Amino acid sequence: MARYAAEVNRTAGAGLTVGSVVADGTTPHRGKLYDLVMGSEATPADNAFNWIVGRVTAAGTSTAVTAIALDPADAAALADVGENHTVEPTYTANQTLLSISLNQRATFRWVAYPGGELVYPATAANGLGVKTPTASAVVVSATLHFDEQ
Amino acid sequence: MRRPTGYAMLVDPWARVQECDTFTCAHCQRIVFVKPGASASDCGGWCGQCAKPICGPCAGKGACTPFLKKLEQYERGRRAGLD
Repeated sequence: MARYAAEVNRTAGAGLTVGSVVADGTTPHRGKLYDLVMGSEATPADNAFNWIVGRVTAAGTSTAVTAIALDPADAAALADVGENHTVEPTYTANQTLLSISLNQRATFRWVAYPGGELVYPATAANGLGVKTPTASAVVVSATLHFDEQ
Repeated sequence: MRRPTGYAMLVDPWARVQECDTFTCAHCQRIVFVKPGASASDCGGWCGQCAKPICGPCAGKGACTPFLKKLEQYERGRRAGLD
């Protein structure tokens, strides 16, 4: 079991998804998201965002992000992390795991204790996505910490 | 709730830092925010079979279907479909 961190960004005017982490297509491994930080680095303004973490069953098309191993002795992550989606991931209907509405100026962090992580299956291209379905006009970013089994 | 399974923090420059315990529903993995002093039933429910807190919609179903069991079935099904 190794732990990884990845920062995902969505530039202004791009799709609604900020980033996603999915099991690899050829060697899928189960993973657990245990830490999530969400916010905006844009010039402060009063925009409203609804942030949603959902399950995805297809990764869509995105810019690949290299997840950093928290322990440098660990091998590179097998999971595929993506940002700046040009084709949205396929979100599973009625599978909203976290939904929170925030002002653009706010930063939100969620941390899971052992046993409370969001688990994604060892199935190709299945995983978790973070999106702001109500607005895409501002640069936003999220940091995902996950472990891979 | 005595044993939350998560913690959330909201930092807003115009307000005090807000902190909140959370739990992850054992049946669907939805993250539920826990109000201070609330019992499991106040936040959704308690599954007596898997002995874990669950969210309101899952409590309304009245059946115990642990998420990890569903995940294993899903993985098996997908693998079988590929064979």
